[in-house]
Amino acid sequence: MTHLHLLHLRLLQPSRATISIAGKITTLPSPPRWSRPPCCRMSSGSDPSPPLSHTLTLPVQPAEPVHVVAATGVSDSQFRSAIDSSLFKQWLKNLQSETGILSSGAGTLKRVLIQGVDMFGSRIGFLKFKADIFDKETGKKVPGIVFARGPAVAVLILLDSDGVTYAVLTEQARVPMGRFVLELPAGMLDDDKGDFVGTAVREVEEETGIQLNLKDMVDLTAFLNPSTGCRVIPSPGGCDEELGIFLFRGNVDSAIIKQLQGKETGLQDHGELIKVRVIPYEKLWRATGDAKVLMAIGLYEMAKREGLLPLINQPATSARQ
Amino acid sequence: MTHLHLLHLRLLQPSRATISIAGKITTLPSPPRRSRPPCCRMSSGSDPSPPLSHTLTLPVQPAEPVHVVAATGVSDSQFRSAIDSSLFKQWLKNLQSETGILSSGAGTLKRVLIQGVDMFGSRIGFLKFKADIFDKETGKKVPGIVFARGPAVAVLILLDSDGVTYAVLTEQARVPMGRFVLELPAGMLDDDKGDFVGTAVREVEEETGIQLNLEDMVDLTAFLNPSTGCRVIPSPGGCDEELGIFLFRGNVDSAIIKQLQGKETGLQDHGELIKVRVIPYEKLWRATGDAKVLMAIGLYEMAKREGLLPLINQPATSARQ
Repeated sequence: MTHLHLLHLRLLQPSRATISIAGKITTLPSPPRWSRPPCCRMSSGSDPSPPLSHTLTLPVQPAEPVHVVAATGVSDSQFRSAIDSSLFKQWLKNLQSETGILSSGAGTLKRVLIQGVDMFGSRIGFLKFKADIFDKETGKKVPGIVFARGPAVAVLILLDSDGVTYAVLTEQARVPMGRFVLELPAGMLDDDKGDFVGTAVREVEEETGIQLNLKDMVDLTAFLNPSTGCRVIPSPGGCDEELGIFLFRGNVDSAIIKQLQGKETGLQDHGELIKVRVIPYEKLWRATGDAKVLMAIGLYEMAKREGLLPLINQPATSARQ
Repeated sequence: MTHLHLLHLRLLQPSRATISIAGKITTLPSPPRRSRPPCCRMSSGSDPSPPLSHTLTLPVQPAEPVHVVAATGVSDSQFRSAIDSSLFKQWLKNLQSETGILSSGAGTLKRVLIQGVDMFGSRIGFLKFKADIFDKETGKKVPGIVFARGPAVAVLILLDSDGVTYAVLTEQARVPMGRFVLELPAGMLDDDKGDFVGTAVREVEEETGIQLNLEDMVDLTAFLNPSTGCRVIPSPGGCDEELGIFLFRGNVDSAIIKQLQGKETGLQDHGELIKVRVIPYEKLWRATGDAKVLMAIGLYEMAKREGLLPLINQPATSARQ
């Protein structure tokens, strides 16, 4: 695995900035501009205040620096938050990983335009940017618009009750779709940095009221070949999102199933109203277009078929795997 | 189905604009401001040039008009393209459909902030906006950031050759992921408005060099319950994208399989370098994290199990469905 050293730009030094590359401090040839007068942020040539920008030098292309620029409308603090964010750093890291576009020598990153930053309170929620990566062979630019939201987790919860297997789902208003959507319980990674398992459990508990044991969950995405990174990718053409999908299977009393039907839980102060639904598993594949559900079914059914799933929480009388 | 009449704003009339709502022409109480001096686009109160905006009245909430505003950095022409785009109109339509957030009476749309427009040549590629929808019950705002890209299609191509079933995939640099990703052949809806089938065929032909007969394709997403809209949703929490997934199954000579391996095709002038890969179908579920692949496998395996798939192009000697 290539050793990656991401750049830290000391933003509080208004004079020449220093960058550490692979542990060596290097002074940039020209200082990045951090601030400008708050008004009149125009991006054309005659403007005395050019757009906010800075320059990165990446180890994989040391002779070709990357210019990161703020689009009109992106404030100084948003720009700084963006380039300092884990979303942006992870993306740079992916580019330079063994299987990355830059490492393979296939492309060169020349410029990144930070188009927008969506804050969730004091932290970055989403980033939108446009990366200019040029294919070395043809000289053409690869489509480079990115909606960055980072990793997330989802859980396929199967509860056996009186001989029927139920799936536990959430239903909520999804503004991008304009309607309510039935989905696997899921969430973004909030506090657990890289700890997918912990977050899945917490989200399920918050959304379903069920207490789940981490050790009873199977990581379905771990069955993927290592080269995939063992995460699923909802929309690789436009979004950086990758998901871990977990399986929980248990037995419950029929009273619990009845209680779950129609239960309303959720994080009221975040504006999420999330209803819990239970559906017989055999009907699940047709019940929703949610990618998380269908991917989970795909992984679960194939893993089962190949004998990869342990019999979890099965009573002696139950023949179903 | 509620009759929907979207609003047309005659943008070329600088004086009072007229809106047609459900066929009736209504004059807005105050004229929307169309243009401002090109510099100093600030959004605070002391600015004599307020942000570009216009007001919509939706039939489903006639007493509560919707204010659509342009964020700093969005030009006049981008704003007009955005609100006039099929992406935006479809989103408004979804909100007001039978299963929509607004129709159910669950929420009220108060404001939309157009944050960014990505043009692909002369047409809109992506829209980014923030919608303020308030839940009627709690008064809370529902998370409303939208990355709009519209519908797309993908094809699961299974080729039987010498007793082995192969899947035909594409591999390309995906800038949002920072790496090359193996995926189902797919594409956006370019020219065919709503014609998913035609676009799937064209994309597959462009990306694989295979000639496909429309009548030999099965719409796997048609097996979903009608309430789902019969399309899969990669990322409902942030993106409006919905996909049709189709199945093609045929027999080919082993020479074709060899030829496909490593073949490079694609739309060179669009900057896409797309390689074609063939993988034995039994290995497909582990070979990639691409959601389209895993959803297709989920739908295909469940449809097969329930006897819903016709035997397509099967020679008499082949026992495999």
